[in-house]
Amino acid sequence: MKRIMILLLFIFAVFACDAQYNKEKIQKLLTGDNEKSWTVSGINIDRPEKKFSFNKNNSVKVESTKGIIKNEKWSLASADQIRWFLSIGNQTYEFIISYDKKGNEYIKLTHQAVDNKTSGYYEIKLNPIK
Amino acid sequence: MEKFEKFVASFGPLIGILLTAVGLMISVSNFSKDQKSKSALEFKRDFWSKQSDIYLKTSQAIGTICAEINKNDMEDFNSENYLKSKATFESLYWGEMNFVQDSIVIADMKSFDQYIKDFNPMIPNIDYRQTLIRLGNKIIITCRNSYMKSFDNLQVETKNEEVSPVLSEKTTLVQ
Repeated sequence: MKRIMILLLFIFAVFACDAQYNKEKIQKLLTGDNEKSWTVSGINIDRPEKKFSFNKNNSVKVESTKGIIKNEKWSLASADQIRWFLSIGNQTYEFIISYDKKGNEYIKLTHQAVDNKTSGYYEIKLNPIK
Repeated sequence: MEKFEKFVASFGPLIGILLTAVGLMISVSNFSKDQKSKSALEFKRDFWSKQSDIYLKTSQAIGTICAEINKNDMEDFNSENYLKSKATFESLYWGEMNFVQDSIVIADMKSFDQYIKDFNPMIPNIDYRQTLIRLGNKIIITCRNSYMKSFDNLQVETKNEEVSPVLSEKTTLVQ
């Protein structure tokens, strides 16, 4: 019994050490069971997109301020399995999962046009619609 | 023969002066070249030492952040330590790190900055915590690689210099 407990502890430790967001976990978070909608708010910019609905089949409905709905494709990519990048149509964002002070989960998307600290940089926040 | 002797007698001193002048000019030029390469090497060594200092400070700040986040028991979490290191990291990222300007280091640090800016250390989600810890570790490794690359470049440039006794002494010191 003692040996089994030690083995279980070891297996738990291996899983705990290897814990990180992977493609499946991010996909599940984005799309829920099949499709999930998110409200979009610009953090340091006013963006025309107001709502994203991500579907498991890699399609996304982008709803703009004037109620215009555009269908795009979305995909996830990572070079190191640590930093994840989400492409929506022709725009690519770094995908960051975060929590507010109350402990509510949200997604932060950061977009960078030029490879420096400030040029063309903006952040948007996605909150799940329950 | 007499003509040649006359020529030597009248122009000999002048030729002597000219040869001395040319010799002096060559010496001055060589000395100036040596001085230039010496100052360039000193500048590079100074830059390298500053770079290592910045990388060490960054690694220390990231190390403290990761150590705090990695604690299993929330009661052990030292908020003061965490906030202090977070402030140090942000100050380095927006300030001194620009002095180094290694694009790979900057890109990883930018990402870490985006994570840490809104990071909520009270969330027990292990994936959430491990992502930041892994990113932190990645930056430390990137800093180390960048530091080693600078060292290699410094060595290559030192070897490429014409080895004067002063320079060879410096190379030995660096090695």
